[in-house]
Amino acid sequence: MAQIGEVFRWQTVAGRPVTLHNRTITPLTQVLALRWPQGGFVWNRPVALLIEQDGQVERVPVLDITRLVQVALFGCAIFVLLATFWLPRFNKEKTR
Amino acid sequence: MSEQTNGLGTYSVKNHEQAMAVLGRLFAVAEPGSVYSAPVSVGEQTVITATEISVGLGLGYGGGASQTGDNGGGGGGGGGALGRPVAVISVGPHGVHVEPIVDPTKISLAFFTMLGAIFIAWGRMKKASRR
Repeated sequence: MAQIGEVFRWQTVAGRPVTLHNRTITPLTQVLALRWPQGGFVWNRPVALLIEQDGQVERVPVLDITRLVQVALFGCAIFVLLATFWLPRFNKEKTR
Repeated sequence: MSEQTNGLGTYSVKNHEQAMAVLGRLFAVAEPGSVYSAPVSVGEQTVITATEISVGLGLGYGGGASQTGDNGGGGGGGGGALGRPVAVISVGPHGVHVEPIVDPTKISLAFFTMLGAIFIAWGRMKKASRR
C-alpha cells in the first residue's frame, strides 16, 4: 500500500464479504487514486477473490485477459521498434 | 440539476462547495462495491460481474473586479468515466468459477499496432541493408 497524504493512493482494498453456498467470498480490488485541489482521477480494478470454506482460505485471481494480451502485444511492438534502432548501430560497431 | 442523455451527462454547480462535493463523490468510485456488482441469483447459480472503472475530473474557476467596480467570475469543468467488464464470477453448489471477458476489438487494435511496428521495423532493416 502506498499513500502520500490525500494526493496519491495505491492500495488493495477488500470489499464486503458475501456468503453464498456455504462459502464466504471477499472481493479484492486495486485502487489508484490521484487527487489535486481542483480535480482527481480514480482507477479501480478487480484483483482477486478470497474464498473461505471450512476454515480454509483460497485466493482466486480475477485475470484481465484483454489487458494482458494488450500489454504483451504493445510490449512486442516496442521491443521490435527498439531492436531496429539498436541493431544497425550494433552492426556498424561490429564491422569497424 | 443533472441531466443524462445517451451517456452524456451534464451537472451544474452553483458554488465552490458544490463543486468540491461533486469531486468528493468521484472518490466513491474507489470503493470495491463499484467494481463488483451485487450478486444476482438464477436457480442455483449466483452471478457477480467484475468491472474495471476509471474516472477523471477537473474543475477550474476564477473571478475578479473591473476598474468600474463590477465583479465577475466563472468556472468550468470536465471529466470522463470508463467502465470495462473484466470477468463474470459464477458461484454454484459445485464451486466458484471466474470467466474472463475478452474484448476482441481491443486485442485486434493492439495486434494491428504490433503489425504496423513490425512493418516499420522491416522497412528500416531493408533500407539499412541496402546501404
